Amino acid sequence: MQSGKFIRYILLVNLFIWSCAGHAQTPITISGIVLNEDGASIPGVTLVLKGTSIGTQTDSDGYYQLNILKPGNYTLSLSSVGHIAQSKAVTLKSGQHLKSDFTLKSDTRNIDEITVHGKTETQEVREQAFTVNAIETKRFANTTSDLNQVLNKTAGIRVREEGGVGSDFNFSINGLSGKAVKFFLDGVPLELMGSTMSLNNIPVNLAERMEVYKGVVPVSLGSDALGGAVNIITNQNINNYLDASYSIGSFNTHRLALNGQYSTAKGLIIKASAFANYSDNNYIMRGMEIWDEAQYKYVNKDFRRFHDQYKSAMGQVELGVINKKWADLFFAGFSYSGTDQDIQTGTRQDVVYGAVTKNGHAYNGSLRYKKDNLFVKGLNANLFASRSVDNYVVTDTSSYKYYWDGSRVKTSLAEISGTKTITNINRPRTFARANVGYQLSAAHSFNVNYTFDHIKNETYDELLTDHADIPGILSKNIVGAAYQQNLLKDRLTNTLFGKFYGLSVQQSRYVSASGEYAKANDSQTYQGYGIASRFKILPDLGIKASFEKAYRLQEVGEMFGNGYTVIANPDLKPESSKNVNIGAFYGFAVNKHKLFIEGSWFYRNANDFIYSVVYKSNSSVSRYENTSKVKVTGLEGDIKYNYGDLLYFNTNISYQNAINNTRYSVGSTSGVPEATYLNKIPNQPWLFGNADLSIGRNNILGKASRMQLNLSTQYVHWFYLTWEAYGSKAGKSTIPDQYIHNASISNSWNNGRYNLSLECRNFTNNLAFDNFRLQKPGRAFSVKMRYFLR
Amino acid sequence: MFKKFKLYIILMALVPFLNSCSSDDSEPTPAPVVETQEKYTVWLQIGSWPNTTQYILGTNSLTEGSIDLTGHGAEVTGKSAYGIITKGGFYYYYNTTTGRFSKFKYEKELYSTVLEVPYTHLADVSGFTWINDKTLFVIGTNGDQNKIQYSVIDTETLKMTNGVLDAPAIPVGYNYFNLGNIEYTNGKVFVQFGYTGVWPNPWENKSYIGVVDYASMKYEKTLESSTSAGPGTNKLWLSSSFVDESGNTYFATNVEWSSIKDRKSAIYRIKKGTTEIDASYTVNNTSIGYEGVGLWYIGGTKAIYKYIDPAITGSTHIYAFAVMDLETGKIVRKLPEIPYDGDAYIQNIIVEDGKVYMITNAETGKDYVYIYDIAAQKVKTGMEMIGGYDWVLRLDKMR
Repeated sequence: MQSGKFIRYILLVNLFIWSCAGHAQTPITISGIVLNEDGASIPGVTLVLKGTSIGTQTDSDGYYQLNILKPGNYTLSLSSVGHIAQSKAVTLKSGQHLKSDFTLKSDTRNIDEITVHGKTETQEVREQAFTVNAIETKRFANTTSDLNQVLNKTAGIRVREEGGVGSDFNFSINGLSGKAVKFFLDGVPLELMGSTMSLNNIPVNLAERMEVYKGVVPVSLGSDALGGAVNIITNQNINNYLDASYSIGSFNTHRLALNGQYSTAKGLIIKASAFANYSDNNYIMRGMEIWDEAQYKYVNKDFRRFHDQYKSAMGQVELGVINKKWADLFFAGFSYSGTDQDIQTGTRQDVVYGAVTKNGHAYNGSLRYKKDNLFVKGLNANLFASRSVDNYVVTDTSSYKYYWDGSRVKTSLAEISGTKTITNINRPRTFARANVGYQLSAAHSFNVNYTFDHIKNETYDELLTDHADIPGILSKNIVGAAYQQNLLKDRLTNTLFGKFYGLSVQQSRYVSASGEYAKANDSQTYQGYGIASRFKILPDLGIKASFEKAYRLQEVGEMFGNGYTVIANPDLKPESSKNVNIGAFYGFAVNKHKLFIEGSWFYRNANDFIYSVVYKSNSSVSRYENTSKVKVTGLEGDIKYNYGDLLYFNTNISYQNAINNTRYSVGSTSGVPEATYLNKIPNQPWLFGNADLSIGRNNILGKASRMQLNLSTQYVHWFYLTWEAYGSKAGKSTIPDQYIHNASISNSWNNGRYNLSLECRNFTNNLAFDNFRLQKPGRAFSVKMRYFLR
Repeated sequence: MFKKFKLYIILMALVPFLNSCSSDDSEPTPAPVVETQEKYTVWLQIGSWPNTTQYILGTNSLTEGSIDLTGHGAEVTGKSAYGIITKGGFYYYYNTTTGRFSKFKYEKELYSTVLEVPYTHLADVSGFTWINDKTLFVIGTNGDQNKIQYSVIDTETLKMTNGVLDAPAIPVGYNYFNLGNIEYTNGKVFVQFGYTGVWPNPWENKSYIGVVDYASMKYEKTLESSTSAGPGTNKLWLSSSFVDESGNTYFATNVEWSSIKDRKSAIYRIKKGTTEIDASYTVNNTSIGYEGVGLWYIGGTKAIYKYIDPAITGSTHIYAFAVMDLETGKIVRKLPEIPYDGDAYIQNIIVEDGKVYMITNAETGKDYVYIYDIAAQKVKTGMEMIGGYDWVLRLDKMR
């Protein structure tokens, strides 16, 4: 991936947006921002053009826009609970674009007795029956965070990174991780954009907000998500905007993000988003072992990483229309993404690589269609289809052994496996999703979701062949149906759902346990189900409970192996889990004080985890088996407090107790339970917390400016690498306590149009380990510039 | 030896009484030398993948009592695999991922590094033999697996001499050298090998033994047999070759994963002082009646033969043990008292004072050390390993 090419591409897109802006004719619009007396934006303010059916609400930034068809004299009225209502007479002429900002005064009489306030979209999501983290990314827009770093600050989520920018990571939700967690972008699998698109490289500016569903996942995200799902929601505003940012930081790290939309008078819209990341990741590794010939022993020294350069880029363009007779929304899109990455270490830092690389490219074409009130009132349809091609290559052809000082010795071996390989993985994929909702009445609604997912998996070593002998084909048909009732004036919400999973796998030939080739295909079906309920005792005090019997379906490679080192296991079952969440939330607002507390208890009973097992201890082959069962129970709590727009404080803590529930090992009939039965699962963080504090003031550096200071702290309690009970304590390996403190200061001018921020991550320069003996970066500085136009 | 040890304990227990009876009785009992290293080690594995962990645990007696991993033993996962070389209370291990050759010692519940040096000469250690108590000879291939390379290692300093054997080129149709058994005797190193293709293509249906002059490291000639195939096993995992008390060298093959149709295992002999396969010695699975996977020498003309019992179906516990007579090439006593093992690649056996101490991975019931008395031809159970361990991987003698 050449980032130079990419930057040119981004500039072209940018140019295109602006050239459109120059030539288009503007309709009659009225737009602006609604602020309170302190100058903070107010979300959820209702604006109505009296005598018409035209109206809207302010978004999370307090911004509104009304599109008006006919010129004339109108009265615009504003209302928001807790504020004194306001009206304004406006005269609108053809083609006019009127800008009108409002300041609403607090209605102190109301506030004393009423705690209802304008709720942001994230707030509404938090109050859903599902257990969900709703993260408004706006607060992080001026930081250099990627999505992982933002999510890692929230309750129940632990992202374990192996190194710096772009490094591999393990994402867990309430103790379940790996393939148990699925990622979505606006409701469709993130993987469709290619293996490059990952939470560790998507800049925070591309997301409007994120929703993390824990254990119980709505049918609209039609997928086999065993442990939960993350849905990244991009800016769905129909208004024109441009968000462009660039940051530069330690270890030669550069990040560029561009995100914009332009609509013409006829409703033709172009949306574009792009990002590019570059980092040398040459942070200092402290106390690395290096051979000292003079002393004839290994000694410890600090070295900079020397083979960890990371480059990634993505660009997406969508063209479409909105508000047509035949479609509320119709978009056709195309995206490209690519990575180019050096690999510095194996799974431990004493395994040093100096030449291994990994790179990939992916292309995706997609269509989106949405129509509300299709055929009959209340029937809403949402369709998506895409075709993608994803390719990545791992190159391991060096004949050198590298050391931390960058020196190398000639060997006859490749670095990872001894034998030289150029592993190619190609994954053409077709995906379609149809979601139909029907609102029978205010109290009853239905939703049916169907997804079709077809993936071909080709893996081969370029040094031996130019194609995969035995590609595997996986088709998934997942149907979900949900019924939701809103009773007692919306105080009680119940969602009942069922999911049907159809799995079809085929491989032209596979290698059986006896080493013989055979043809194979298999199809299986499974049924999952669940319920999610929420009851509001008071308007801002609610309890919720949810349950799901969830599945993670087998993959082709897991069932049929790869034909040479992994043999087939046609009896493999999907991973399954019974997930329960019980929680409560309470919101509270007095004057400028706003508090929101939520807490939950969770239970996961997961069976049949699929892992590769060496088929015979020293044979060259392995096989995927349903090896283990895990039971997780835990608690998490989150408190958010803000005082006007001056202060924001958030803290959360998560505790999870994962227990090995595997009574007998695979194939064991001994009647003696495994030694580790009911032991705590090792190598998993089980207690961690976060705290965030921001203080901001307006108009320090000029009018319409805002300065903000952010401090955040992350804590992860130490944990054992292996089973706690076994082996003498003196010789046991642990992953130490981790304290990371970050700080940033930012200033924005012109109501957020121009932004500049300085950031320091891990400012105390503490040693950071997410994994055993895999050091993460120490102190790092960065500067970010951002231009946000709307 | 154990009897002596017991006797010693009893005597010690009696000392205070003896003293109390007569104060001026005899000379004081000499203070015993305190040995902090346990006499034996057992390697165990627990947990389901991916949380499998291997441990090493010491004991001073295999005849009685029990060992329990709870709070005891040292983790070896991440330090070394259980395919390892041991001698004189130390373990020697080539870590291919870090590129180091290490010397470890297990003592007082700690598995610690005594010395380690950078090492990258071999793709892996595919076989080893001892030239003397302090000189280790290891072989392995290069990365492309088309050369046989060796290192001679001074185990005190871990200083080495590296080289490449001038072995014959790989024949057309095959890609790789397959190495395993290697023995040193009478100034010669015998290196057994075979040729393989890309898995799952079968091995070449032949077995070779290269004869190397140790002093000059000259590859002198190749012995060849088509009775069986391949190199036998790597003694890192289990034994299938040895030099007996009378100087004859035995090489067994293990063809379980050879993908060869109608595969056959065999035992070859090179008589003392010769450098030829003994043509008169025709011992194979036809003559023995079973396909072998391992062969341990237990003294005299006897060995323990680990073989596949074809009568077992529907279980992975198919590996049985028997005592065989090397001279006749016949099984003299099966050992049904020892439960069938669930894996071939287990270091099952140590021999001490006329007794064979054996571990196995039983399908049912508890895990014990089994003791076979060679003279009495009797099996009894010894130390118990308490706790539902997935795998008992090795049994080693430390001192």
